[in-house]
Amino acid sequence: MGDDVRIVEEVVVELKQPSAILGFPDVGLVGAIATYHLVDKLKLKHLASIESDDFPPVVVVHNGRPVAPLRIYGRSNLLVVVSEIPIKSTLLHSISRKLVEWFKSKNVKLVIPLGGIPHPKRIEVENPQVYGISVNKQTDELINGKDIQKMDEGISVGAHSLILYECMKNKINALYLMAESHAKYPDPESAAAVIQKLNGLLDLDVGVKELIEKGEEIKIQARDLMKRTENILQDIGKEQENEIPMMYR
Amino acid sequence: MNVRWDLNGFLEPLVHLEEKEDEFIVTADLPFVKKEGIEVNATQDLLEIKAQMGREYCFSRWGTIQKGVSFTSFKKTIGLPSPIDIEKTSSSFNKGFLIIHLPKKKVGREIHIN
Repeated sequence: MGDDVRIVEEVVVELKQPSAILGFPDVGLVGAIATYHLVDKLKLKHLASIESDDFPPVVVVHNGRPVAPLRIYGRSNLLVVVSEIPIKSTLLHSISRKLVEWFKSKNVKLVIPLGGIPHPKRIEVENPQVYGISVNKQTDELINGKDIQKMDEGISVGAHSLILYECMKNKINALYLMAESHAKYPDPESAAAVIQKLNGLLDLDVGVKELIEKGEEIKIQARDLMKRTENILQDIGKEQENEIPMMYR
Repeated sequence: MNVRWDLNGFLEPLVHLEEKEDEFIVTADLPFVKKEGIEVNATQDLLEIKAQMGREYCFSRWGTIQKGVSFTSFKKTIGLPSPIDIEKTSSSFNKGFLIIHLPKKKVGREIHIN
């Protein structure tokens, strides 16, 4: 199951060693909210769709036209992968492998999945801390001096984690950025926190003021996706991230 | 699975019930709501949350029949897994989150060891 994931390119753009950002629905929908915001603010073009016969029979209607729920947007130096559905466990490995294979074919220089890390007292946190999982010394260097705390030991669960691992195996630089967030509620403030770090890493200038100001609106719109994502996170064993691994030292 | 809504302008909020040793904690995310607009009622085994939004929210482009419906309030009724002590309940509202503490009703008595 899940071995027939296809990336269907719809618009040809000359890519110049782009960076790739991903934000699948996950804890607090941090990555999903952040990637929608990036696509909107940077006015990125819809370049490709991710398809599979094993995906749920869902088509999204945007601007009066049907589109695939998993899409790739971009411009010459930047790719952004968005998903409007949570990814079930049986598809995570095949999507991760296919995406990284595609990134390699496009000469992607850096892959950055964006996500959340559940904070039990998130309501009391004014400025969510951003953490990073880095695949090599080059990406360690990238986060140096950027107030991104490197995760040295632990467990990471989900699509972003698998993509990070696939990137490492394929010798593609990758960095998983995770902001402290609500676990089961959409968290636009945490999405703003990861975008601010991304701005510093990729020399972007994506404003987050609107994300904060429209936070309540985003929370209403994201209720259903959050609920569906919560069920999938339970299914993939996301709670393992709070467990202490046996090899911890 | 999904979070409900209806054509009369009610939205169901995202709500979670957490069970601790001696209490249940219910958390509800209530965007656009002020403390004054919230009404919470409880019986021993049921919790009802009603909250008026500070502004109407309308999905101007989303869907078919729901397009143009003005949502004005949240409503949610939660069945509690075991009876609570209504007199000892408490709640707070902070940054759009309603947190309700529902102490479990104590049944039985301590058995002394002779």
